[in-house]
Amino acid sequence: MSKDGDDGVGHGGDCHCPECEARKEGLEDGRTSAEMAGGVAVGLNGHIHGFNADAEARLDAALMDVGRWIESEAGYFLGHVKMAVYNDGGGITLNLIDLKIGVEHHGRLEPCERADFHFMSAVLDVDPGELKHRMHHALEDTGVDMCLEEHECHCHDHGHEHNHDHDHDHCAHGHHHDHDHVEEGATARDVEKKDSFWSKLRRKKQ
Amino acid sequence: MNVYILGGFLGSGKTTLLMRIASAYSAKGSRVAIVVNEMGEIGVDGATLKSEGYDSVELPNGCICCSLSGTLQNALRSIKKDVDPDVIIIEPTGLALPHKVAELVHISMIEPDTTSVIGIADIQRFDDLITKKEEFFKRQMFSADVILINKSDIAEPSKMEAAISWVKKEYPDTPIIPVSAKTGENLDKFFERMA
Repeated sequence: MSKDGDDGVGHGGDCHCPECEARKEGLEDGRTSAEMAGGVAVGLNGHIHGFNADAEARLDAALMDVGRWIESEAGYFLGHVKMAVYNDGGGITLNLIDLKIGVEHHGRLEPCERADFHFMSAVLDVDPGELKHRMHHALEDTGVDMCLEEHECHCHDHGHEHNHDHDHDHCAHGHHHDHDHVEEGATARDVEKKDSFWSKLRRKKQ
Repeated sequence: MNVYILGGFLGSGKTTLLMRIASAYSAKGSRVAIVVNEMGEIGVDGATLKSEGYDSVELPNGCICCSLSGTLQNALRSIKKDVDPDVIIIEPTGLALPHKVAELVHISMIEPDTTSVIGIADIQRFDDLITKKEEFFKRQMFSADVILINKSDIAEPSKMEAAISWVKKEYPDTPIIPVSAKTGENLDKFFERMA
């Protein structure tokens, strides 16, 4: 290849013809496209007890928190932070692409006692472990009553605060937040019945 | 059977466009199959599509252009065998290289009538992308049969003109259409081209 990037067959260094692409891929063998871009993707799964407009606003704030952290870490925010909250009755998607515009809300989900969620970030030039850690904290800081399906606190040496004395039998990993447990030994179903969405709403009003 | 591959960076509007294309074909009575790929083990787009009334095959936890290339080929063969749709729309991750996905469609032996790569560029973050990740962006766009510059509804005219000019210079033979997948603006021009 000559100094100006020409390979002798008329293709410059910036050429993107299939032959040149193939050659480049040969040179970058072993790297995935995400690695080429410096991209990372991290996700968390869980469910929310007592979804309503207030919870939606708090989740919106969590996405913004993660987005701002990404911008401060990478120097820019390229990618997206997304959350889907849904149940059989419908679902919403919260999507953060641009910090100036804020979180876009799509879809519809009526207030409900329980909704599942997926929370994910796919962005560039940050550490995935740190990103996941930040996402955990952002969720925790919402104060929304939720349960994560998996939780790996080995990435950091401090404990997340859990405002309860015992685990639900359906969520044995112990990463609940902000539960008001009614009585010792109550089953998850009992707790859900007694600690209904409407009772939570009433408590919030009080 | 026509295969459409939606190629574009994270957050460029691929899922919104996918829903538009799926709706347009469904309205014509075509059978549409949707394949959605996400980098993370937790997918959000599949849940979004489900909540909007679309069924999709989700391929999470990797990229179909590289780490999940075998999974994509198996999924395409299953779709062809079980559904035999008129249209397959593939949404790779925003970190995928669409030309590689097109190659995988070709070698998966599903024998589509056409395979089209639709490049989607986000006008909102166009400057950031070509400043910070120009090489990767070019690698995503170079194989596109048509390039849509999305989010025209919120773009300043001067910014849109500059983006079109940049894309035209890089890909002089590729049609460029400014669109808004969200509002539907200019999508008729795109659908005319697809038909």
